[in-house]
Amino acid sequence: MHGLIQVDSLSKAFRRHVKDEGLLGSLKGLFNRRYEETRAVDAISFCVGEGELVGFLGPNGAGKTTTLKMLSGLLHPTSGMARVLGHTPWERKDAFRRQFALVMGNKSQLWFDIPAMDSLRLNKEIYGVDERAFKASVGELAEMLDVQGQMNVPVRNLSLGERMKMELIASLLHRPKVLFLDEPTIGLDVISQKKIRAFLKAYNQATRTTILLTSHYMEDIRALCERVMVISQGRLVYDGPLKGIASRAGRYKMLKATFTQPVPLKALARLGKASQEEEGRVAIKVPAAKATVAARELLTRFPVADITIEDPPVEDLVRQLFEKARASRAQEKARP
Amino acid sequence: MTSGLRKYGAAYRLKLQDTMEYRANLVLGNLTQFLPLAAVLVLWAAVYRQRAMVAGWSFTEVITYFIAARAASSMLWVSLTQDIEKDIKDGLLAKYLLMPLSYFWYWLSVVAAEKTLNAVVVACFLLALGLAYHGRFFIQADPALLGLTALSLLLAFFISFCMAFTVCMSAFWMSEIWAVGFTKDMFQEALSGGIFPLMMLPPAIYHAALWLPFAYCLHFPLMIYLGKLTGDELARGFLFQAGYALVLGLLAQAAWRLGVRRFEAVGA
Repeated sequence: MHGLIQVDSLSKAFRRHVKDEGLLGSLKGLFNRRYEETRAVDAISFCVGEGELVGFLGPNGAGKTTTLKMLSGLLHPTSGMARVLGHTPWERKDAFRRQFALVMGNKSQLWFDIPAMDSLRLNKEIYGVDERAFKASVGELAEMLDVQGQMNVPVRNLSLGERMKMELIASLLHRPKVLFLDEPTIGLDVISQKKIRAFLKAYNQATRTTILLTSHYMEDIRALCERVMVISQGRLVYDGPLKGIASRAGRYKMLKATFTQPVPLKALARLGKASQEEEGRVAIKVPAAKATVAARELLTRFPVADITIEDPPVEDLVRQLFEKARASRAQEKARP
Repeated sequence: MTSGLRKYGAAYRLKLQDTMEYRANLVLGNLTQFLPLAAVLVLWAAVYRQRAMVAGWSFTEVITYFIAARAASSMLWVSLTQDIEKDIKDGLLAKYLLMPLSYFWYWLSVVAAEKTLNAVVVACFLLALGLAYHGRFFIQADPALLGLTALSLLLAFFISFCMAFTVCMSAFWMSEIWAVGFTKDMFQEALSGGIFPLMMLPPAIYHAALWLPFAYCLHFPLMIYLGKLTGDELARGFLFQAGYALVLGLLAQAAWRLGVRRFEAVGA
C-alpha cells in the first residue's frame, strides 16, 4: 500500500459523562459519575494518493471530523495506525506540521480585530516562509479568490464568505502538500459556496495538492470529488466514485409526470411509491428494471402531459446507504 | 533560535497592533485602576497624622509603595483564565497544535505585548503625577538599583505568567476554571504585597511569605526600588526569584504536556 495518506484500522472511542435528568441527576453526578463509551471511528482503512481530491460524506456524528482530527494529529486514536506524508500525525513533529493544513469551516485562525494581511504575516513567520514566496503566494491566492481589495480590512468587517477565503489563504500560505477541509462552505450563501468550490477545484488541479474534505452539502462533493468515502456510525460503508453509489444503494429510477387533470396519488400506488412534487406534477419511485414498463402504463392509462425518467438524486442514494448501514449494524448488535 | 525569535516576535508585534485598535480601552483600563487608591491613601494619611514613621516607613515611602504597586501590577498581573479556557473548551487550541508553534511561548509573547502597552500608558501617568506632586514621592536615584529593579520586574513578569499559565492548564480537566483562577489571584494579591506591604506584617508571616513565589511577583522589585534591602537580602532575593522562574517555567511546561495529552485523547 502506498500513498500520501495511509490509514489502517483506525479507531477512536470517546468516553463521555452521562447525566440523569433534573436536579436529582445533577446531585447524583456530583458523587457518582456514569460514563459511556462511544466508538466515533470504528476500524476504518483507506489510502489516498498524491493530487487526489476525496470527499467524506456522512451525517452529523458519523466520525468524519474525528477522522480528520486524527489525521491532522489533534487526536490520538484508540487503536490502528495512520501515516500522512510519511509521518505519524499525532506525534506532531514540526516537519509534519509544516507540510499540511486543516481548515475548519466553523473555526477561525485569523485575528478578529486586525486585517487578514497582519495575521498572514504572523503565519509567514510561524511557518518560516521567505518574503518573496510570501508575496507571490498571497498575490496569487488573493487573485484566485478575488479578495485583493479586502486584504487590509479588519477581519471583523469582512463577510462570512470573505472571511472563509482569508482562512484558505492563511492555510495555504506555506504551500501544504496535504489539505484537510472540514465543512469549508458551512453557513455560506450559494454564490460564496460556488466560488470556494471553484477555487478548490482550480487549486487542486494547478498544484496537485492532496485534498480531503468533509461536507454536509452534496453539491460540494458533486462538484469537486471524483472519489467519495461514505462513513456511517464510524464505519466506512463506501469508498469509490460518486456514480458508483447508485449500484451500491440499490437501483431504482424516478418517474416524473405532469398531468393535464388531477390524478389522486392512490391511483398511482400500483406503479410504485408516488409523491406530489408540485401542483400537477408527481414523482414515482420504481425499480430500474421496471421503469420502461411503468412509464408505458402511465402513458396509456393516465392523462399525461409530460413524462421524464430520471436517476434518483444522490442525496437519496446516500441516505439509503446510511440506512442500510445502520440496519446491518443494528442486526449485528442484536445477535447474541 | 532565530526562527523562534522571529515567530514569537511576530506574535508580539501583532498583539501590539491588536491592542492599539482599542485606544480608549487601553487608556481607561490602565488609569481607572488608580482610583481605588484614593481611599487607601486617605486612610494612611490619617495613620501618619499621629506619628512620622510606621514600622520604619515614612509617609512618602508608603504613598510611593502603593502607587508603585498599582503601576507594577498593571505590567505584571497576568490573568489568562478566560482566554485559555476558551481555547481549550471551544477547541480553538487546535489551531495552535496544527502549527509549528509552542503554545507557552506564543502566549508569553502575546501577554508581553499587552503589558508593554500598559507600561507605556502607566509610565506617562506616573510622569504626570510626579511632575504635579513634585517632592511627595520617593524617587530612586541610584542607577544600579534602578537597573536591578528593571531586571527583577522582568523576572516577576515571567513568574507571574508561569503561575497564570499553569493554573489555566486545569481547564484540560475542568470545564470551568474561574474559581481556580480566582483562588490563585487572592493568594497572589495578598502574599505579593498588593494589599499591604509585606514588611509591615508580623516578622514570622513576613519571613514565611519570602519562601513563597508570590513575594517575587511584586514585593521584591518594589523593595529594590525603595532601597529597603541590604546587599545580602538582594542576593538572596535574586536567587529565589531566578530559582522560582526556572521551577515555575518547567512546571508550566509539564502541566501543558500533561494537559494536551488529555486534550488529544478526549477531543476538542
